[in-house]
Amino acid sequence: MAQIKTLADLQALKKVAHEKMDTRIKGNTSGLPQIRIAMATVGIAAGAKEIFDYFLEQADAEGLNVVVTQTGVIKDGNCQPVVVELALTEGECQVFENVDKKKADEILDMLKH
Amino acid sequence: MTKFKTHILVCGGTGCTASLSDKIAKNLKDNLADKGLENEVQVILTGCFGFCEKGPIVKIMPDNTFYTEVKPEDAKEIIEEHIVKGRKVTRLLYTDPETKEHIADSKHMGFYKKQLRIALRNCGFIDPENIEEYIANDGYEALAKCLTEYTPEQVIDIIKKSGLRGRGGAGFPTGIKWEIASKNHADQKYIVCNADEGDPGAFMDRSILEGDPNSIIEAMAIGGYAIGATKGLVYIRAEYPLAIHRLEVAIKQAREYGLLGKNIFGSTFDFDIELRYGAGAFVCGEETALIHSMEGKRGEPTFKPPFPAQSGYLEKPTNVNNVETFANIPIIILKGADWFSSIGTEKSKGTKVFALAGQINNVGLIEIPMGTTLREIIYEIGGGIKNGRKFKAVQTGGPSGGCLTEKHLDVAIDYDSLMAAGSMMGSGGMVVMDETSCMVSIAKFYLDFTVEESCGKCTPCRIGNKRLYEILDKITQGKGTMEDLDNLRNLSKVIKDTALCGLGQTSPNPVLSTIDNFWDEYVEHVQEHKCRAGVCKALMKYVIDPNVCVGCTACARNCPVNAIKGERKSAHEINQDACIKCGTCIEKCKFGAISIK
Ligand SMILES: Cc1cc2nc3c(=O)[nH]c(=O)nc-3n(C[C@H](O)[C@H](O)[C@H](O)COP(=O)(O)O)c2cc1C
Repeated sequence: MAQIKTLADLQALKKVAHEKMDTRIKGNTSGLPQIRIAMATVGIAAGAKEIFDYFLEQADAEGLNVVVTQTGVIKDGNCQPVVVELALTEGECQVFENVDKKKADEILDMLKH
Repeated sequence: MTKFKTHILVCGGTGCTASLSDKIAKNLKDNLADKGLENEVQVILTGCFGFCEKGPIVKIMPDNTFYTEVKPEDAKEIIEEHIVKGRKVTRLLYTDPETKEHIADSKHMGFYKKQLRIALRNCGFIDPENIEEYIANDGYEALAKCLTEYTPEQVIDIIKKSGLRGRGGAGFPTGIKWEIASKNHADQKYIVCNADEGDPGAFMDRSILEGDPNSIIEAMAIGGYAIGATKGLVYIRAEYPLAIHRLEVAIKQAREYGLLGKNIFGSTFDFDIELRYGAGAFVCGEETALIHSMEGKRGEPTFKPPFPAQSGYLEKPTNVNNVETFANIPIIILKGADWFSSIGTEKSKGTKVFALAGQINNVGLIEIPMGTTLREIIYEIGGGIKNGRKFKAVQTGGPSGGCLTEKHLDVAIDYDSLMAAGSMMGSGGMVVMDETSCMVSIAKFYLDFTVEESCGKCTPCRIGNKRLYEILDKITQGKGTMEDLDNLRNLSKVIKDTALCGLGQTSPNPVLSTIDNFWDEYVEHVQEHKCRAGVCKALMKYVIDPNVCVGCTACARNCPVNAIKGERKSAHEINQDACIKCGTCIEKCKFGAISIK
């Protein structure tokens, strides 16, 4: 195991370790915006899982501070998934339907300002 | 590296482990593997979440879903519903006792809202057996900062300015203690972590060691640097196997990374830590007794001075601090003295961890800013008294503390206000009592403990406490006199004034505080031979109401000592001399004919 001999060594290790825990640390931070993807059976069949992964990858790639979670049915009786909920602050949230990668990019764009 | 999209945190504290939380973690992993999700979802055994009342706890991140009273067989449903389908398992969610609503997000639970987690910052969040998770959360940065930017004097200065006071009981200012130790020169000095935690019902220190052992290692190294000690010793009771294991793992990992050992962070500072095991004697938590025990001598206290800072372990300057005191150190270095001293009251800064126990809805481990009131702790965090009963008293400070009442509920708690109210902070035990507790019996309970734990070296403690116990016992038997009450007071004062160590100097506190706050109850026992709580058996009488009794014989058949006589279909009677007051007859009577007088 590489020895830690300087503050820089420690910070390098911290960066790697922090990335591994990223999901948990974000969940523990209050006030972050949230993206929730409906992942019930219908959603999964319609490709919600791919969109979920896409959100995670893009958020990571762009270094966005956002919590990406899965949730159950967002809109009852909706047979046209994928449904995504965006909550910029607690309480206020917008619902998007038929989300594909293009729409996902638009949602992520809303987080950039 | 693929990133885990979901983290499942399973409480791996001693309490939840006893309820099979390791089995829960294993089942979760197995079910994830069945679904091919082992690379997307990570299962982590953490330290204590504090909400022990409803353990075992499983928390899902990042959505903070808080599952309570989880059983190993629930693992399948959690994976299939929550992880695969994204639906919360409602039946496992915490139900608010007042609104009866399910609360999914732990941030909204009354238990957590008023808490401020500084010493417990990583407990229930990181994997205590993985030093990298500690490092990910700023771990060892404070040590790096001290060794590369600050002189020992500057470190001491920060701790002094922060206002941190010892969490082991007496509340001595930590910075001043370090300063004294730093000024005593010797070829070898020692820094000791007191993890003896002998108060009945206390588990603050154990939980910190189980949940965040690296914070103690880092703090001891910082303390070592500040006072000039290259050796650290943790005195830990052997009954804490899980805490010992986690400490050992953490020490090993810290050594592998060079965070313990020679030339730490490229500096000239060397430091290492060893464990010493205690056999569980309460007096060995007292620092001089602790040092003797570590030296392989009898665990008996000696007179101070000399203080350990002058002549401690192997007669070298030694600095003893409590586990929770240490847990505060790294974050004070990182966030600064001003940040810390902005929390709390005028003379007590920061937070305090309490083990909340007794007749309260939310039993568990809590951390609150100094200055929080007892009412907030009991009714908001603790969720009020169990079974809708009435609050009667709260005991703080363990065997050295006292019982506070209704009139103290709005006291903003800190070292000084608790002392002024006749109790003390102690190490953080807090036992809540309702109207079914007899205060004379409570005092007797604590004295029984002290008599058992007194090392016997000094006469006031060895004999005085025994006499106190005997008088209390006499009162609970209904044989006390008013003179006995005077004697209790006088004897208590003498013991406090003359005992050798902190054990005897504080052991009469439970007696004095109950006499002061519950005088009427003592008098009732003496003059009316009555125990209003119905606890003192000798003062109770079971009687059968002949007008209600139908003579079914159920009570007589079930009485274990054949104390009930009577003809079938006519009223029965209890022979008071034979009755052992076990309560079986009341339980068996279907007609409500038996009562306690
Ligand atoms: C009878 C007795 C038992 C004690 N038990 C403990 C204990 O279990 N843990 C502890 O930290 N301090 C205990 N103390 C206090 C220690 O003597 C010492 O003051 C403390 O460890 C200092 O650390 P601090 O300044 O960080 O609080 C006890 C004291 C007495 C008199």
